[in-house]
Amino acid sequence: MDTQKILIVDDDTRNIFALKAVLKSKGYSCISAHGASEALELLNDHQNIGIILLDMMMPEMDGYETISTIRSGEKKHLPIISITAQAMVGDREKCLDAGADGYLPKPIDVDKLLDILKRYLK
Amino acid sequence: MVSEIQLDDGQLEAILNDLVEVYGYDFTDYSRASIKRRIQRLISVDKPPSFAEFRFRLKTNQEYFNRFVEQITVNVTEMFRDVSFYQTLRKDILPVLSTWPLIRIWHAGCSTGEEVYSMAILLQEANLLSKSLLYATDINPSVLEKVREGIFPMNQMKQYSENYILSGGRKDFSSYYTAHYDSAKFDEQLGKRIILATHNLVSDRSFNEFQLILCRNVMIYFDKELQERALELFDDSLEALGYLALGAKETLKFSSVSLKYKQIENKERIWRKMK
Amino acid sequence: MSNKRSILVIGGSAGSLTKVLQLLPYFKKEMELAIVIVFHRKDTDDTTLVDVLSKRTEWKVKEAEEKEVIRPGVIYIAPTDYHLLIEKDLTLSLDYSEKINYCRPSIDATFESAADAVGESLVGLLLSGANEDGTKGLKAIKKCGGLVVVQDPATAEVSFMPRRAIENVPVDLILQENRSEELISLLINHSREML
Repeated sequence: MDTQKILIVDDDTRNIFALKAVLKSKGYSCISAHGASEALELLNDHQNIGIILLDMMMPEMDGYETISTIRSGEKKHLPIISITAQAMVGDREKCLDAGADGYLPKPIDVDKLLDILKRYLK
Repeated sequence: MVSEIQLDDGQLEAILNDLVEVYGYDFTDYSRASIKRRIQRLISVDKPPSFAEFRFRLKTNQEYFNRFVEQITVNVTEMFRDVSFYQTLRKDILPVLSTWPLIRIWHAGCSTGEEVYSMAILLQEANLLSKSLLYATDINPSVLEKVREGIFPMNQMKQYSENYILSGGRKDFSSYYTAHYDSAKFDEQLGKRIILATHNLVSDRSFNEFQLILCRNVMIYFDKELQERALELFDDSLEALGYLALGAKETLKFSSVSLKYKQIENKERIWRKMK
Repeated sequence: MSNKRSILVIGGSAGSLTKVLQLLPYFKKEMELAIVIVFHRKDTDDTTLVDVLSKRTEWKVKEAEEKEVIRPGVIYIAPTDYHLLIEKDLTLSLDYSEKINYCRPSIDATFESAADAVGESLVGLLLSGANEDGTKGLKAIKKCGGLVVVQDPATAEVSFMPRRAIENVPVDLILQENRSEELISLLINHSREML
């Protein structure tokens, strides 16, 4: 059976490493991309991506643009969770307005992340 | 003549608290003497009829708040400022950075971008620009717009050109920009490797790992605790053997992170992370 | 450490270095006093100035450092190209905002911040110089309860700066040539009142 995969998009390799480790230990399967273009390619190639964890501060195409691109493409209904280092009031709203389904500040609260995954993944 | 409102400490506190509550911007850990001066200056320029009105406007008018943030945080800067610093970057730091396959540099508190473009030029001349990424962040979104445009006042070019030459530059500085009336627009190739984002050193976390972090003449406006927290944030964001560069009169020697760092030989304000 | 201690803040431009060198031997170790000096200067090597002053005094002379606490028996010199501010907790802060009266460091910037932070603890001394930096600052010191001393314009190398101050600010003492003891007495009395 095709279990759904988590796509982690972050140009900081430390985050990818840390997240993958945690999620694997909870039984989830992950793939990762270092930037938006890589992520979009993976989205095309893999049919069983169930959710995207998206870093908002990336080179070339930032998180906001990436969300916009996904929302206007084939996978427009894919759940997208913004991950951001920014803590200010208004940040959350900005991400949600851009089309994200949820928002997680760094450093990631693993319990919150797991709740989100339970909600969106089969 | 209407006398100018003199801000007292109680009023200053009130404003700082308003800013946290309404906008989520926390300036309470900034150096008080400095921020008080800057707000006082804003008051003497804008001449509000009363403190209450000034406070009200700040609390309720987003645009005025943006102006306020700009006035309080924007720093005066020049390209290739502090000639010996750029000399050191060129001769000692860049050759080490070239050993990395991808060079990530963070300009924390980049203001209008003069330092970022200076770095881009340095990297270009060392043939390193195409494998570098320059992350330029600032608390001020409007200032980032200026960085994106890469446009600087034409009347500054003579000074910048002199600085550039004194810091070891051999090319014709004017070849890096085109003149448009009273502005100089810098080459787009330089701008391509610059990533812009708002980032608040008070509240935001590490967002990547870098080989070189520059935060020059920004932390002088912070109080001691905030300086410490900022240095910890930088330490968190710096790879082992990477460099942290501060302003000409700044130091990390009183910080808890100092144990991990060694100042470079020529005593410029650049430290290397040893472990 | 009581916050009420005497701080002598000196501001000077052209011609002020000679006066400072003349005054230095009068400052004795036992005086419960800290001194902060703002010289208008071009991009000169900061260490030479410290050396030149060190030779004339038993006090420690150093360039003011970011967030350093002001201690008695030490002379702090404002670094080139930064404004030097004083905080309520007696720490020194550097500031790189725009020049004031075309100067950075600006005497007004230091005097004003000091007046606001530690008002009555201050004695402000303005020396020889060619522009009007310092007058506003002395006004602020007076307003906040400190004392104001100005070099006698008649004997200052460049009289503009001190004359401007005398014309605009009520002065507690005009520092005349060969009357340096008057300054010292004023400082000692002030210091006594503080403790």
